[in-house]
Amino acid sequence: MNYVFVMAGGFFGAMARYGISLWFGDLSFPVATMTVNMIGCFFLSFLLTLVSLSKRDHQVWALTFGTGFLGAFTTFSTFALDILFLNLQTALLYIGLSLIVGISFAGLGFWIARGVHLRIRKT
Amino acid sequence: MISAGIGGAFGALLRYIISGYMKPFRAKKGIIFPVATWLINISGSLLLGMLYGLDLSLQLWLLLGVGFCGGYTTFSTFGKEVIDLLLDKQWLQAFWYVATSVLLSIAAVWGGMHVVFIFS
Repeated sequence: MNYVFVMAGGFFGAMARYGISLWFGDLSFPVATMTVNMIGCFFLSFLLTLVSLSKRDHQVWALTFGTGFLGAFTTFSTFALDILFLNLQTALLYIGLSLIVGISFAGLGFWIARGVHLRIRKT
Repeated sequence: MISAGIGGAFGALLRYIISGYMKPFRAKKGIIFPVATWLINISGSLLLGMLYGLDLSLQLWLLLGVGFCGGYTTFSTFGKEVIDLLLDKQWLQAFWYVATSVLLSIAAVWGGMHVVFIFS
């Protein structure tokens, strides 16, 4: 059954990523891939932190939206492919921004999820 | 659009299966290094490079490249794992995880593309 959750999430995640890339169109800087990767980092970290802090079992949510949807929504292979077509300066900027913003957003997702969890527990 | 979704569903499934197999392996050896995601991102980049070199039709590119490889590899899990390593104060592991993931993926995508160019 877990397979079905992951596949359903992956189906919509990949479609959403493709939809966003069409919406941005062809630009000289891979803004679309960067946008989905940054948003995905934040929400995955937020979701998985909430799930791991929760006393109840929310594994279905983690599988469908985390592993499935957000996992497929973000991509590492397109990130690597895009870099090949940039000049050195732009490539370094793209790599640096993706790493710094992505990891920071993942950190932000963790802190906010922990804050939300503490608030819910208090009330 | 549907092709990308179908590819993404199978890519995500394969990622889930591989990371399921890699977990015990990681724990037994006692190495706190996200081997599964690391391998997935590098192998997915290699495959994407090869597919790009093959110059597929748009329909196949959406199914296998955008869908499958895109859904198989992941940036969000990568980011989350880096944060987990940092919160655990594993600075060196985090650094090597980031550095090798990025450099080897770029090398893999380049290598995959050029291997196909040589043989076609």
